[in-house]
Amino acid sequence: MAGIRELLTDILPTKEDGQRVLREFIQGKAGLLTYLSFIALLISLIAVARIFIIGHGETTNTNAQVPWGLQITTYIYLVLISTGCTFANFFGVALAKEYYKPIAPKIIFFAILTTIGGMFGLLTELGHPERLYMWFLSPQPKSPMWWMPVWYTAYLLALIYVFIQLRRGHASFKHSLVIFIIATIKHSTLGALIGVNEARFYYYSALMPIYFLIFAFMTGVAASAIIAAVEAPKLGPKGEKLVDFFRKMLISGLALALLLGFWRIAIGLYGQAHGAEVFELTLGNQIFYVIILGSIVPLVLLYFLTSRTALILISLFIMVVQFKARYDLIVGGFKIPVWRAYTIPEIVKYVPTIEEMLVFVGGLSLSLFVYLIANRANMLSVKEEK
Amino acid sequence: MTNEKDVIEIMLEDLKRALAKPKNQRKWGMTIDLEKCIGCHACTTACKNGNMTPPGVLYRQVAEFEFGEYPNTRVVFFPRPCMQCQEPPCTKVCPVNATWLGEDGIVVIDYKKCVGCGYCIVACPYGARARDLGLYYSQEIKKISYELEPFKEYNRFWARTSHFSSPVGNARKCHFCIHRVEVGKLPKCVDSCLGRATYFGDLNDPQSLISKINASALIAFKYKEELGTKPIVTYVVSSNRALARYLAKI
Repeated sequence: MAGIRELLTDILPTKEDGQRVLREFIQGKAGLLTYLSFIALLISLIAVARIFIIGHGETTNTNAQVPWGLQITTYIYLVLISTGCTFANFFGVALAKEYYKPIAPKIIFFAILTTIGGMFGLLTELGHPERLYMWFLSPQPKSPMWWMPVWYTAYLLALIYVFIQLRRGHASFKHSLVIFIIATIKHSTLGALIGVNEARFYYYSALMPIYFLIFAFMTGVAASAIIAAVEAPKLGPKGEKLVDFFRKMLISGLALALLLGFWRIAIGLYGQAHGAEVFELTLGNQIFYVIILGSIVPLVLLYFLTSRTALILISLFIMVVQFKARYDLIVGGFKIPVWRAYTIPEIVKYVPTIEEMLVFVGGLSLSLFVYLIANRANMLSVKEEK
Repeated sequence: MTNEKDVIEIMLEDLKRALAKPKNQRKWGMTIDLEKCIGCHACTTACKNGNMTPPGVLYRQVAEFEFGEYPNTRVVFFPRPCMQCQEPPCTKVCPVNATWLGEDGIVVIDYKKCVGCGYCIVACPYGARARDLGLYYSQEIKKISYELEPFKEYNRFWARTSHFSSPVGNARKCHFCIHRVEVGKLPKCVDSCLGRATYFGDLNDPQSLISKINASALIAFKYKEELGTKPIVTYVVSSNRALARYLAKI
């Protein structure tokens, strides 16, 4: 009992902090972003309710040609950020422990929240989410998808454990290595889930698990860099080093993403199989969003602009562009129909509905709102130095 | 008047013979003669009616293609049921074993297990699967009782009364009307084919009409066979090899 009580005091805010945050929130002193994310979350819950009450048919634009749309993109994008945060944590603990340690609980907490936000998107997509127990009753380990909840369970448990340890001041390399490995297995399985689809030329590639890992690293480091840059002034001289460390890590991530993004396009353009023309069809978008806006522009900006504010803005820019790039990746897989009947267009078009857009808003605002509230309640700082 | 039996009658006799055998000794197959298909879409209509499929779910579509170069062009009608692959990519990816290849060669779905993730739809290279999104043809007006009535699939009755009741929310696909076949009736698409272009029967029976058609066909092909899915549906064209090559990969 004493252990549980100690654990709860380590992860929950104190009574005074809890009351203060609630008071500030009611009095309108919780910050604009907190209110915006709160309102966005409430609106998105209405959209989710509509999806489940009215049904997917009338509230979403996914169909036989485009079975996965914005909801799956939301899931992939948010868990991508989560994975990247654990990668940032690993390199932070390994290479810059001294000045990274104070923000480590924040990064890990954001990784937990973005995974939950991703699940929010995923569950709204499923036709029968109430049957998730089938994963245990009727397992099929041959399917990459079956492994996802297995890895997510391990991942979330490990993240929660590491978060508690970080709160207690134990920034252990061993811990960050364990979550780095679990995150790598989990996220590469997600890449494989997409990559095994021989029916879709746009997806079918052994490159996909690595592609997912590299883009997770880059996007997650961008998210972590925002947290680092916001927290930097509170850390004094250590803060400057922290900003510089994240800037360099982000440059590395962008360079890797540029390399992988380029070769995926180049190899794709060589394809002759059914559906290979999808790479030509999406070439403009890929060059613009993956190569130019997604890699080269932020690389150049980060090289020349070294300030804290620049890091925040460039990281935000990266995250927005990466969302567009993930959307193009998921929806792009369905551009060329596998079956070309006279009723099916040569190139399939998909425009998400308001409800689908709000699912994305919901996943993101859920992560953001809980993070901001927890941060205000001093739940994300290191409790004691050991 | 001739005394020759209609192919439907022959196939019904084949069916009787097949049903007398244990389930694991028969393998249902379908062969479509593209020279006989007149593109009337009767199969599509009969299938929709028989399986009560909602908007967005088509078990059997008929595509139309223009083939050749002017002035030697022609229109080809290309019906597409589920290929009932013997190496089905859709069953491998299902995380909860809700779809599998039956011992009689038909890929089936357990609607009560399916979580509606859509992974099988993504994995099918034929576009033969679609999710039942809970739409109704009478959506815009008051839903008429016809669309809410129970219908038979996989040997039991289902009713699409709400979007929580399966098969709404599930992946759906052509199952060769196995609920009809097992009581001695032909699949709806075969029964309704005006050009008698679709053959159905037991591929393990060398005396069945479908086996004879497959054995005697000058040019036969399987759709996207190069993917290694081993589709059970065979397409027959009389003499045009170029057409067969074109359609096999389209």
